[in-house]
This record gives sequence, C-alpha cells and structure tokens, in this order.
Amino acid sequence: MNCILEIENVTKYYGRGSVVTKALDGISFQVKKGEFTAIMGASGSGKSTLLNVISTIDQVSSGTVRVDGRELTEMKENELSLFRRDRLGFIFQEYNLLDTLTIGENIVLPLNLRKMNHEESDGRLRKAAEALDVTEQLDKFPRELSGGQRQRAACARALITDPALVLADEPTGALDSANARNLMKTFQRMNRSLGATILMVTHDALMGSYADRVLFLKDGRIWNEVHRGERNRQDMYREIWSTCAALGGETDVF
Amino acid sequence: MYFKLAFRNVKRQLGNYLIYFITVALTVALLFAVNNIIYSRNLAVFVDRGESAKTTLQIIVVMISMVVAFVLSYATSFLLKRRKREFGTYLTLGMTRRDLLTIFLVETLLICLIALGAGLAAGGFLFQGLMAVMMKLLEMRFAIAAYSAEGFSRTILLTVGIFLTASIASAVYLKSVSIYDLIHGEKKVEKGVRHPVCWFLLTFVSLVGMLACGGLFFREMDKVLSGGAKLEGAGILLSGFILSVVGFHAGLAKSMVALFLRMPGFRSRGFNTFVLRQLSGSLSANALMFGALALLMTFAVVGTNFSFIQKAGQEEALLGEYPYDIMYYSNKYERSEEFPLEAAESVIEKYVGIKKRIPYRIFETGRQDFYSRTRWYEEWMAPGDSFMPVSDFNAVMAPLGVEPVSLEGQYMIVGNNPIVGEADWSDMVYEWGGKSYTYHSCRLDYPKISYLYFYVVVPDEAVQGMECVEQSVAYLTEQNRFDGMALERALRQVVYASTDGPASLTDGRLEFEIREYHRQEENNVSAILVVGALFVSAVFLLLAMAILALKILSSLGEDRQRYEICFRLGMGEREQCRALFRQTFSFFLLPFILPCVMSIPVAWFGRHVLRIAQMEAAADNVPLITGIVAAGMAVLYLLYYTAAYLIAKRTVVRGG
Repeated sequence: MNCILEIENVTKYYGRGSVVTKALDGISFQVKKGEFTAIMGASGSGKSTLLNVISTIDQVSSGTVRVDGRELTEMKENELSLFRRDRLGFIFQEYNLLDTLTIGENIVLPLNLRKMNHEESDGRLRKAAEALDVTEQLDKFPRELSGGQRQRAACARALITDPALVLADEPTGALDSANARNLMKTFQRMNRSLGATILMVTHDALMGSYADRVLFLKDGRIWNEVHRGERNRQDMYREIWSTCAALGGETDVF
Repeated sequence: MYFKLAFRNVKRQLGNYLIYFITVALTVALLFAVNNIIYSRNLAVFVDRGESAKTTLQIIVVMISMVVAFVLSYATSFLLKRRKREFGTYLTLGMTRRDLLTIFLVETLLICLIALGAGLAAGGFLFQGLMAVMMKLLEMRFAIAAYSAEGFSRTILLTVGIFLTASIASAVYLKSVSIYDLIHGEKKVEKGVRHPVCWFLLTFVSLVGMLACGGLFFREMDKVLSGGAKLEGAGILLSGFILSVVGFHAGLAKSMVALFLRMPGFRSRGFNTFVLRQLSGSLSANALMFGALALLMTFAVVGTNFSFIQKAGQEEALLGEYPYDIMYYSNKYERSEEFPLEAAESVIEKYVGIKKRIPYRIFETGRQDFYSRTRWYEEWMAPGDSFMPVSDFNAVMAPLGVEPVSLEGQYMIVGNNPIVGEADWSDMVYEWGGKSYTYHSCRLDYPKISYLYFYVVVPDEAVQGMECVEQSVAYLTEQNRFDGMALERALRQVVYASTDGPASLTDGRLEFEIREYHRQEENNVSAILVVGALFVSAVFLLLAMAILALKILSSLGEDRQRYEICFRLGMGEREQCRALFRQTFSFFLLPFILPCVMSIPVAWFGRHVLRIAQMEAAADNVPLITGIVAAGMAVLYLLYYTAAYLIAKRTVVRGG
C-alpha cells in the first residue's frame, strides 16, 4: 500500500521568549492509502495542532510533513492553497458550510475554485450527492437542513475533488448520538466503498471505534496506537476504552 | 473600573474604528468650515449681500447637521453591531444594561473627542481653502481668514447635540435588545429574490423612464431657452426622474445577482458563485438605499457641474449683457426732471477716467407697425416702435468690433429676445416721411446696447420727423477693473443731490449701468452658489460613502467566517483578495455609476445652453469642467473605498 501521509519528527512551538508551549514534540507516523485513522487524546494533547499542520493551515517548527509524496514544509503559500484545494478534503465540527450558498453550490465550490467546466462539475456533484444521500437537498440552504444532513453535505464537499486525504476535525462534535453514529457509518462507507483515506480527530471513544487504527496523543507525543485488525467494533471500542483509562485523560467513553 | 475598561477597549480597537473615526472627523471638519464661513468677518465685508449669503449658508448648515446626525447614529449602531457578542458577554457576566451603556458611551465619546480634535484641525484648513475659493470667486486678494469664536462654539454645540442624539438611539437599542440576540446575533434569514425577471423589467422600465424624463426635460428647456416659452411639467418630469433613479437601482440590486446566478457557465467559474452569493443578500436588502444614495449623488454631480458651468459662462454673459464699461440710458418718460449728466461724467472721470464717449439716440413714432407682428402685440404688452439711425448704430458698435452696416432704403431689426426671432417682417415695407423701406435682416447676435425688446435700425434720413426719446451714451473707461460698487454709490449721490430724491439712495432709479458693479454682484452670487454646491455635494458624497463603507464593515464578522472556510477549501490569499475586491467594489460602485455617467448629459446640456447664449468659449470649457468634477468625485470615492477595502481585507482575508 502507498503512503499518503508521512509525518517525521514534527515539532510545533507556540509563543515566544519565556512563554513557549510545545504543542507537538517530535511526532512521527504514517497513514497508508485507503486507511481510516483516528487521533485521540485529552484536551491540550496536540490533536488539533497536528491536524492543522497536516492541513497546511499551520506551520511546523521543525520536522517534515509529506502528503501524497509532496513535502508540505517546503511549499510556498500559493502552492499550499493549490494543494489544499486539489489534494485535501475537510470536514469540520461546525460543518463550515457557507450559509449564503445552497448545498449544491457548497459541494461544488472546490471544483469551481479549480475552474472546472460546468458540465463536468455538475456530473461530479450528482455523483457525490447520491453517494452521500443529499440529492434532495441540493437546492436548499444550510439553515434548512438538520445537523446530520449538513454534515453529509460537508462530506460530499470533502470528497468531490477526489482528495488524497480527508481530514476531519471532531466531525461529530455538533451532532446528537444517533446522527453521530450515522455519520461514522458514512465515513466507513466513504472509506470502504469510495476508497477515501481519512484522518479523523476525535475525543469520543465510540467514534474512534469506527476507525481502522487509533493514535493516542499525550503531551504532544504519540503515546499509544491501536489497530483494529480482525476485531469487531465492540472489541475495538473496549480496547480504546481501556487505553483511554490507562492514558488517564479526559476522553469521553460511552 | 468601567472607565478603565472603556479606555482599554478604545485603545485595542482603534484600527477597527478607522471608518467611524474618518466619518466623524470629516463631518466635524465640514461643520467647522461652514460655520466659520457664516460668521466670517471677511465674508461680511466682501459679500455685499451678506445677509442673504448668511441665510443660504445657515440652511446648508442645518442640512449638514441633519446629515451628520444620521451618519453618526448609523456609525454608532455599526459600532454596536460589531460588538454585540462582547456586550452580550458583559451582560451574562452580571453587568447591568446601565453599566453597558456607560462603557459604550465613554468609548464613543472618547473616539468622538479625538475625531472632534482632528475634525477641527482639518476644518481649519478646509475653511481657509474654501475662503480662498470664495475670495478668488469674488476677485479679492487672498488673505488668511480669521476664525470666529461663534463658528467654533456653534460647531461644538452642534457636535454635542448630534452625539447626544446618536447616544439616545444607542441607549434605546441597548435597553431593549435581548441577551440572546447580542450573543447569537439576530437570526438572519437569507431570502432568495423572488421574480428576478420582474425586477429586471423594473430596471429596464426605470431606465427608459429616466431617459424619457431627461430627454423631455432637455427638450422643454431647449424651448424655453431658444423660444422664450414657459417651462411646463418640470415638477412631473423631476418626480418621474427621481422615481426612475430609485426604481432603476432597486431593480438592478434585486435582479442583477439573481440573473447572474442563473448562468451556470458564469457562476461555475472560480469563486463567482461565492461572490454572487455574498452580494446577493446585501444588494437585495439595501436595494432602496442604493436608489436613495444614487439620487443624492446625482444631485451632487448635477449641482456642482451647473454651479461651475454658470461660473464659466459668467464673464461672457456679463460682456453680452454689458458690452461697455459704463452705459447711460436716458428715457424722457422715466425721468421728468433734468438729469445731471455732466456732473455724473465728472465723477466717472475722477473715479476711472473716460477713454471714449459714444452717444446714440432712440426715436419713436408712436405707432406699432413692427410690434404688430410680434407675440407681445397679441398679448397686449407691446410698446411703440423704436428706431435708431444707422450712423449712431455703427458708431456705438464699432468699438465692440462689429462691422459697420449699410442700409440703403432698408431697415434692420435688432433685438436680444428669442421672441423677436419668431416674428416675420420679410414682406413688410415700412412707409415714413414719404419714403419706403424694405426688410434687410433681423439680428439677435449684436451686443446689447438697449433695454428695448428690439429696435429698428434705419437710414439716418428715416428718423427725421420722429421724436427722440432717448439720448444714451456708452463709455469706455481708462481702467478696466475698478470698484464698481463705490462708483455706483458716488453716482447716486450726484444724481439725487440736486433733486428731492428718494429716502434711501438704493431706492431710486439710476440710469447708469456699470459693468464692474454687476461683475461684483455676479461674483457674490456665484461665490455662494459654487461654495454652497461644493458643500452640499461634499455632504451628499460623504453620506453615501460613509453609509456604504459602514454597511460593508458591519458584516465583516460573518464574512470572516466565510472566507476562513474558503481558505480551508484552498482559496489562496490572492484569490480571497480578488473575491473580496469584487464583492466590496460592486457593492460600493453600484450607486456611483449613474451619477458618474450623468456627467455626460450634463456636459452636453451645459454646452448646449451656453451655445444658445452664444458663449462659445465657455461652452468649449464645459467638457473639461464636468470631467474634472467627475474625476474629483471619483478620486474621493475611491479613496474612501480603499480605506474600507483595506480594513475589510485585514479582517477577512486569511493568509498562510
């Protein structure tokens, strides 16, 4: 399997002078193509910082981040924008759909930014909408949809460019438990049927149990790692739960 | 503690309040300048009609104050809206609404005080600049004008009054708004524009209406200027034009984006959909406001242009109306007693020196042969026919560069009124003294040397047997520029010293027309007109720019979140800047296009009017004048826009 994401000895400091915080402390790991990986940890463990440096929204202090074979730390601002646009897909906790755009316009926006012609982008829109079951909602505005529908629309937007890596930051944070489970099933479908490589940050053990692999962060370092292997989701959940308990953090366990 | 908090807030948010600060400072500057002009001693000395100037400018100041009150209230509400969440947090932390109001008032007072200081300083310069313009228009030597304590205190009083009015509005809002609305913001529901095609139809109909009203107005004015007809339906045409301007902008704001969104090819290109959707809500919600602002700016453009065009045509109009330095018109029916001409001439000699003296005469027969062919005769307004011997005519016209006329057995009609041009004498044979005179020509283009509607120039022998009713004199003086008002007063003293005379010297009739006297009078009028028009235009423009800028800035919070999402989706910094530019520039530009374009018909009409009045030189200057006015306004507009854009960019655009 190809490596989509390679993180090598990444360190990130915040602040300057005597008030310096080490958010990431020499992290190294890899994510293979088609893998569904979750990152878990307590508040302040460095989860979001890690996601931000991978998504090129923040810069590392040292170390290298390679996505789809390209070294992000050496890219210039314009290249990073293009890379984000073409190779990364994002799903956020608050959906981050533009309230002024219809669902269809929101989903197709990354293709518009690529200046893809209307016929092709429309075809991709129909396909993504069908895959994520939001075809009926394409002409509606985000405020007219439920949280679950909005998050599915956000998933469709993340997938429409056929990205190398989908980054999800607490995607179930704003959903009730039923919608959260449905979304995780959608993630699994995206991963298994559509071949999407997903890196998800969560503090919820139940959501983590849907992933193939869970990385546990503590104080900016990878503290432990759990692989699903041949286990079912319940077993995976138990494993995550016990790891969280050992971690002694604030991770939610249900 | 609250004062400390307010001071800190002001310090921290100075950058965000730049537009607010500029708006307040500029309005204070305008107020200070106009108040100082009203109470300026220099103006009272220079402008003979000091009282009328004062009244005109006082009306302008009332208007400015109302505008300032409106702008400041709006700017204050903008400040409130931008900080709703912060105020909501204060309330949840246990502050009372009174505490909140104290904090807010201290903050705005502080910003207003700084802006007041800056505005007074800028107003000081503005006042000197405007006084320099006025002195130039009054043809006076430039001198630094003194500031008046009354102007200063009035500015402070007005500013305090306006600030209090704006504060009351804020207090009412803070008293009534719920904590939920402060924290979460009032739920804005993006309503799609219904029936955009109908709105587009309104735009089209309004455009046609605008063109029709403008065209009809020009046609009516043309008739008035060239045919002496009365202006009919001006009120209806003006109302039609106002409605059309408002309808055009409202329709355009409602339909433009919706129609673009219906073009899949266009909207799928780059960030067009994003920009269109960003514009959609703001344009639609402010559709009527665009119409009102466009109307204000159109009036600003038209008013400024016509005041300058009037000034440009003033010299030629003056020379046309008063071709000689001094004219003496005598009419035996107007003054029964002997006129002391010799004494008056010695006064002229003493004041300015007489270079040349050209006498000429007007004769009457008591008949109305010529008037019977004019409209005046039909309207029972016709006096008796007047005649001038051709030798007198040539003598008085020669110094003005007019070729001598030869009339052998012919007569020539000379007048300045368009109604004369309507009449036809071509088949009329005039019989007098046993001789017949045929038609030679009818001329309206000779310099004006008589108050008569028209006179008939005839061969010298033709006036034999007629009664001489006027023995007028045209004077060329040694000095071209002199104090016409002083000479006019001196001549009145002479004329009425020998008679019982009127109680006041200004009451009685004076037979002398002194061009420099009229020039000074005209200068007074045009100084007030130009400065007044500049002020009103500046206020209208400032109002429009401030409202548009504040509208843009008040939605930066939401814009920031949207651009952040776009950044995450791969919209680079440059693309964000371009999208923001398109979004804000379209919003800012929409109400300014029509006023700018209006410069073209205004230039055309101004030129046309001046040509009808045979002021060719002034007519040639009109395109330059309108061009400069449009460019000046555009520069001001763009400067204001640039400030707004840079603030928006700093707040909204997300870099790497």
